[in-house]
Amino acid sequence: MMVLSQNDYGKRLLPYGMIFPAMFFIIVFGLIPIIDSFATSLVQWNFINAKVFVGLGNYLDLLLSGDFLKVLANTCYFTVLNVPLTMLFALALAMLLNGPVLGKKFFRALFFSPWVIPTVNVAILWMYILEPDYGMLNWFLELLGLGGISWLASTRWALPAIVFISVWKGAGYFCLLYLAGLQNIPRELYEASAMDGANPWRQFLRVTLPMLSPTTLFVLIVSVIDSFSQFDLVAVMTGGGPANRTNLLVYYLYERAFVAFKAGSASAVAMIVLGILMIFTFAQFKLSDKWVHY
Amino acid sequence: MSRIANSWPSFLGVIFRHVAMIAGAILFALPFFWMVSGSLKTLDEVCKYPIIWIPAKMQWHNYADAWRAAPFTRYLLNSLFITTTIIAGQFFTVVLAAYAFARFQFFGKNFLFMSILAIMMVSLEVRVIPIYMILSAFKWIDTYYALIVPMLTSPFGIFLVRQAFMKVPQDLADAAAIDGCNHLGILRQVMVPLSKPAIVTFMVFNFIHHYNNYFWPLIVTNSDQIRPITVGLARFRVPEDTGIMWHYLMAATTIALIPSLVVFIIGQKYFIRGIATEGLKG
Repeated sequence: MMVLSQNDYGKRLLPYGMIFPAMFFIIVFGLIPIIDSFATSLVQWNFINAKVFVGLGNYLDLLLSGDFLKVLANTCYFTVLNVPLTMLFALALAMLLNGPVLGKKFFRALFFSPWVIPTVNVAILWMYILEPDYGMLNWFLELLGLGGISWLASTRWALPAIVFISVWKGAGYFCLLYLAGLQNIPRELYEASAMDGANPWRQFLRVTLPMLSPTTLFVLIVSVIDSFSQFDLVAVMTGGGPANRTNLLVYYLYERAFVAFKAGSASAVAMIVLGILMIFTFAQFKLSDKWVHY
Repeated sequence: MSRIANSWPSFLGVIFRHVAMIAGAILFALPFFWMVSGSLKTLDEVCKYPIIWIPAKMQWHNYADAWRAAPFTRYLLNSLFITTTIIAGQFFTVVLAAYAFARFQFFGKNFLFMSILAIMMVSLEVRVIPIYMILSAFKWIDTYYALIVPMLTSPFGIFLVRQAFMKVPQDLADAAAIDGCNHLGILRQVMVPLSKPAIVTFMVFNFIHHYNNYFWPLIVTNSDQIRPITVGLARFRVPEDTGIMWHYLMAATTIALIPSLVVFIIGQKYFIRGIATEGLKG
């Protein structure tokens, strides 16, 4: 009871002392940078000379520039494909793993492995698979009687290819979350609905999906945030090309800041990303009453 | 239709399940097979068309050659040093804060806790320019400090470990206090050992996250002395003088993913349990 019997003053300060190390880093590298990012988005600045206040000028410039709108459209396209595909794929794998199958642990580890390894490695591996002249994928396509495609050099196919790789990499993680969700559904619900004559498809629609809705809400929010933060695949595989077709918001931010040295404009991009994600997350929590059953 | 369906899992169901599972497994295993196969080919074989599945003669020396073609040993040691330092630092800041939030009542507690979660939900990309400026004011760009210091705490970890601490019965802490333990003693001898799954989950998760990180080290490193392996590998991708040496690239890629995989396999038991119970809400 040593500490508990110390004088009141020391006792009251102890919890503050314990959270201090964490709070210090959170304030210096979290709170202050968020405020400063907003302030920087209102100035023109090349990291060296004096900052020039331009108000909402950076935002206006971005919204009037074709490049930014194209990047925004690419990011939306990426998200709209990536999120549902990842969720469907993850749920399908989880349904399989949740049933009676042999070698469950092996399959689970296998599906999970792309998420564990660095995205840089995934990107390089898939560059070799997508290689137009001697890659494995084009070999398969030719086997099926289809022509080869210059995947990453094609304005039509580069972004879908990156979406596919992103789904391949991310599905295992969400699969695990779905698996946890599936295992928390009480068996009695299936037994009761089977007694009422529900077939498996109806059971899936009426029992499984509603019971998984909290997991789905979480997966939806996390995978949208992930999609809007996608950087590594683009940076390693295409550098945003061809013709800006695979340039996504965070890569664009990186280019603005650390290649073009436009700190103000890059900060405005950061604020727009933050705004979009905040609106999305807030809307989902508001709308979740309608489709999430706890 | 409904007869078969009602006897699920029927024979057809079992067959379908396994066929689907094997199709899925091929989709996940084939790229890895192609990577390892590529790493053991000659330069000639790696660019052959139609493709060669298995090299005529395994070129094991590719691994050593690739490893020597760039300062990969240095990169790997950098990665391991940076990652373990971050994990160790996070352990202290996270465990202390989690204990305070789990076991004390103090003024502003809820406000501070919610603020921590909200602030760090704002992703690193949004904060990158100001953090870069702070680090360059300290002349820390291209040093280990830039890679480590901004990462020394984790709100996700505070949340996860606090959840675990709250489940430890107060009676155990009281018993330790009667035996003469102060709060740090209770933390070390009661709370941490009893919360091992959550703490290990959090550490495995963070090891993988920081070992795999590319965005941040790309921005704050300029020299091979400091670079972690993700950035080294991405630079190795396109050598200036030769074309892409896919066999070396596949060998280096294979080696570079081993640490993450090993940590995952070791921590897997805790990791899966941790995600299944606590991680879902974080």
